[in-house]
Amino acid sequence: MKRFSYGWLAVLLVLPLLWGCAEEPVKPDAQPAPGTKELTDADKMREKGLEGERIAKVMEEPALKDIYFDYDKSDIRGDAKAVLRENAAWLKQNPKALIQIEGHCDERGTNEYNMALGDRRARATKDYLSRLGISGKRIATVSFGEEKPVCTQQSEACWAKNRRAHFVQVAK
Amino acid sequence: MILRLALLLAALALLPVALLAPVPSLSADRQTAGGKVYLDIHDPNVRKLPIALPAFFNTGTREGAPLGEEIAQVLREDLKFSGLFDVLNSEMYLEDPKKPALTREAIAFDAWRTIKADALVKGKYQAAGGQLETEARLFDVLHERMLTGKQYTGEAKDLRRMAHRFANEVLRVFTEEPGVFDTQIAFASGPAGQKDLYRMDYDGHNLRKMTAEGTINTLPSWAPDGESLLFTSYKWRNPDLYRLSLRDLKAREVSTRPGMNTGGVWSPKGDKIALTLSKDGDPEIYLMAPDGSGLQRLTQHRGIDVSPTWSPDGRRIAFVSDRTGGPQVYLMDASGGDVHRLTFQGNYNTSPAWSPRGDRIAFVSRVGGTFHIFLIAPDGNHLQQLTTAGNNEDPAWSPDGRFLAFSSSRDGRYQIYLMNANGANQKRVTSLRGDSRHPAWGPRPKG
Repeated sequence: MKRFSYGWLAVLLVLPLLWGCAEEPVKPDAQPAPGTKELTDADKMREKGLEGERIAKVMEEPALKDIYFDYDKSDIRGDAKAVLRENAAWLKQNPKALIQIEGHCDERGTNEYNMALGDRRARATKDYLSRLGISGKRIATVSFGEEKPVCTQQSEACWAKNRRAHFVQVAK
Repeated sequence: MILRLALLLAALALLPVALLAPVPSLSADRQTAGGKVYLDIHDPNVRKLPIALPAFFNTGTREGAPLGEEIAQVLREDLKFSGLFDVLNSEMYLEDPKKPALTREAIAFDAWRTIKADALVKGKYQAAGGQLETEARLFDVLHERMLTGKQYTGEAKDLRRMAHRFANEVLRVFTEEPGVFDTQIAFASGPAGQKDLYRMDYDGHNLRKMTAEGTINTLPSWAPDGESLLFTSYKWRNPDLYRLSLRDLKAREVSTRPGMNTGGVWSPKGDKIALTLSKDGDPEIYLMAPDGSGLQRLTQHRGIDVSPTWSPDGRRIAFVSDRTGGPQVYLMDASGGDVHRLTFQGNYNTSPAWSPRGDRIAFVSRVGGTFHIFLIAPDGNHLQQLTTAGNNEDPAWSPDGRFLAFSSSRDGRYQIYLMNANGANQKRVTSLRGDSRHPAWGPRPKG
């Protein structure tokens, strides 16, 4: 009787870990058993999905590199795919990290149309990271349109730097 | 009886601008004007009416600051900008400026006819103890008749407003529709990565900052009653829609759905808001109640649909879609049906703004590498380019449809400019350090 119950206990302990791995390759569930620890805000957010949550804290993460877009386009370019693979690797190594992808445009064109274009760029970037195995629940998106340029000169070199997706680490 | 009169006077003095006007009947105006001075802003060959506006006389006992020239100058600028008047240079005036000739009998009409003035504005003022009283009269020089007259009582700081109000009245006499010179324009301005909402008199005076949160507050749009503005704020790192009360400058959430909550515009009746939401994965046009409830999706297209603008009857909406490639202006009815494309020239047409007169839609078009303001009729005819210098964006109509506000980079940074609806009289009205964008022209003040 005693032996039997120990066996069951082992199965019960191992199952959730296997389950977690199968469902969510990057799920950071090296966590204490449920009930022993209060969920942190970040955990709650992950359960609900980050999209639509209010973000209070933003941290720049140098390991996450920007990707760039062609004018009036939101397709992920070849050079951007290589960068996204590196960003995905970092996210797998840092499974608790939550991020927001900012979509940006150059200054040419109408603000609201550019907000829509930035929205599309951020979503395209999120989709690509999802295909690389990063849970969409860890990623929020936001479009800043042309409101936050990194370069303010009026030249193609400058505009090319502004047509970007930027990654920041966030907390609620 | 004396007490009642005193109370009435006291009540009038409390009003910021009280009208106690000896106004001649409108029908008399029309006969006097004899058809000659009726002005159609859409007629490019309109003859401008020569008008003289000498400094107002100081009739106060105390010598104050020379306000008479200031009052006249506000009127001159308003009437000049209207595009309807040839404001005669005051150095040409022949009548003795020291002689307070304000009545039909006293005015030396010959002196005004000699310099070919058809119309004449004469006025006087009295300033004491922070109070200001002005009286202005408009004369038909040829027929030696007074066309209208108004008295204004208020505080000294109401000087420009009094002059604007009389400029409105001058336009009413000559065009049968009052001017909008006492209206306000809201806009967004700030350095890269930060924007705040401002408002100012239509001519750039009385500039006031309305927000200061260190975030991006942009895309203002007036409520039809003029008491609040819709705008988009990045306060929570998402473009959310808020409503700013002009009474207490408090912002309240209207729509904070994930993704874009942008370009909110009230229907002309004020019962609905049209806006762009990207909560379902791509930007689509929706309607909702002013409190953000009762969502109704109007567009069904995977791609960009943004920037709704209402027809003045509230039955149709113009918007921007990239459904055929680049952005183009489309029309639909206010329930999302009967969609058709309006713009075909060029491959980048955005920012539609439907004229309050209903007969034109202003929009932005890319020509070569630069952006310009165009007009087009809702049936696709009468395409007309209004700007040629620098980049020009964000067209917004005045409530009478006579003027457009817009932003332009022709002098460096984006600033707010105004022009007549035919493209004439383009002038800058802001000089802020950051980029100034998205003018929204407020409704006529009530009362």
